[in-house]
Amino acid sequence: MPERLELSAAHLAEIIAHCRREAPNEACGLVSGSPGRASRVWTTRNRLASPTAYLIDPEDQLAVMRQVWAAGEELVAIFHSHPATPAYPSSRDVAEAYYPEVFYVIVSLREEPEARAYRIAGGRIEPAELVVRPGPEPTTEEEQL
Amino acid sequence: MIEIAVNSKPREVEEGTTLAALVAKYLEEVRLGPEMVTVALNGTVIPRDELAAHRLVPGDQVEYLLFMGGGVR
Repeated sequence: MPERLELSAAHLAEIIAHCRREAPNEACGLVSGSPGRASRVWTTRNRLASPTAYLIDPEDQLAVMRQVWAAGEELVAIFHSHPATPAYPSSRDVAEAYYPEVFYVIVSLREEPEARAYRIAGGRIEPAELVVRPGPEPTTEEEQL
Repeated sequence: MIEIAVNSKPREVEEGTTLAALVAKYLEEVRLGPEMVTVALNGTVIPRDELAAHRLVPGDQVEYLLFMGGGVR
């Protein structure tokens, strides 16, 4: 059984909206909550501002994580977009995946937006189940950064 | 021993420990180089070449986070 990442339809919509806003560059952000269950989406800047690479702005990363820790939550997922390629980790995505305990969510904008989740650890990619539940409006923290 | 906080969790370290030593120990655990981490002390990001100049004192709030990135090339 693959591992499951559960998030609301509103959370997913916010992630996709951020990815579309940032296109043609790669977009990125974080998802916090409890293990396997998202409760907040945090959009961040791509320090590289590139259509083929991303680096979550370290200042945004720190600012988000301070709020996540203060809320007693944990980091659940790291997301980024692939504006022109499938929603599958690239070799660089795998090489630079330093958080084996979280999910990596990739949104492809190549055709209709498609989101997929993975665990990436020790150079291995394990697809995970992305469970989208109907839910309340997202709590997006972009304005607070 | 003195008590500090690392990523918002309390932690004890030996008196005289520098920020560089604390971060080096963490990087050794995760087997990554110093270029892959952002370090902040009491809310201020500390440049890599200044880590050794900071000797930790009780109550210090240390944050370190590995970079989050990737790309198709």
